[in-house]
Amino acid sequence: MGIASLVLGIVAIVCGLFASGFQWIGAIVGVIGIILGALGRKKTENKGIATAGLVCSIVGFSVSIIFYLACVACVTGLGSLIGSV
Amino acid sequence: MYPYLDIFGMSIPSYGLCMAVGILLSFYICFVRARKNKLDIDSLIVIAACAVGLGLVGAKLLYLFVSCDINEVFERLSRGDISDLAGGGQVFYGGLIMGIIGAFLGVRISGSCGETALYCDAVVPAIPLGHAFGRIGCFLAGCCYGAPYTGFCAVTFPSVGVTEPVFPIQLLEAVLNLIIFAILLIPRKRLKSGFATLYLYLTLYSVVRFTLEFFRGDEIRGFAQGLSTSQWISIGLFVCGFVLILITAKQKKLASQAV
Repeated sequence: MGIASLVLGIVAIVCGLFASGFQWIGAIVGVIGIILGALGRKKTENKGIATAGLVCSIVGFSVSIIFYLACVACVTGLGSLIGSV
Repeated sequence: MYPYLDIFGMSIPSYGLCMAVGILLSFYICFVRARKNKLDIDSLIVIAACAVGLGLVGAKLLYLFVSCDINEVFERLSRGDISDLAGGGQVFYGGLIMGIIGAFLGVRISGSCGETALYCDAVVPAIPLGHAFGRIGCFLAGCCYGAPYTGFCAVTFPSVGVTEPVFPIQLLEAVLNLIIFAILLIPRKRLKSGFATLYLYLTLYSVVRFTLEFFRGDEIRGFAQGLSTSQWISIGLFVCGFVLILITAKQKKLASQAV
């Protein structure tokens, strides 16, 4: 679980910083990484890797959320969404 | 207002920044309260992550439900146009309801079912705190604005095309959320159970939200029979919260009489 959390955390950071328009994937991946990291820390073996994964996932989730939730789209994007959907 | 903030030369979306700060600060409050109740922090992290994750999904789903034609949404999904649908706004109540479900799921996943009430008491006060920051983000971004108003603190949001002065409803809701946060932190002589904290929050916030909806000016919200979607949900949550408070109080009274 610790290694999975670390991998997901790195993926979340990359998605958050570089995947324009797909930061929501980084947020979802980051949440899963946080859950796996915290569950991995409950086991005494590989607690260090699980902690690293947890930290990476928290950073990845935070970065993804910041760039995903551009709420200016709430109003301006809404008009185009209603018009095109 | 300021949909983007220039920080160290980077253009950062203000709403996302406020949400991130709100979530992190909320988790810190949960952490402090969990430590006080001697709860396992790793389990708390699992519960918070499940709540936030499902909460974001729920907020998006309710937004799509009230603002879009459902057939067109399915058509877009079948074409793979997910990113456009993932953009846009959220509705808080969708996030709250799914977040509560996510928290209970997190309790199951972390194996903490025996301490559900204690985790509830640790987590619930953080909800209005995080929400307050979210509303500050709404104010900066210019969404969820108020009705036309020319009195004290009237504001305009030219970045989103709102050039006539409107009521600063986002800031008012942020202040009221902080008041609810403070009320939930006050130790109670009655209704001490962790679940009572949740019932009290649902009751208080539903009254606030029902009232504030009358002062909202953004018309892109679902309406039915003259009330907005959020007002109907507020009525339902108020009834649930109030009834559960009465049941909890009655159970306490019966338990104390039995002793």
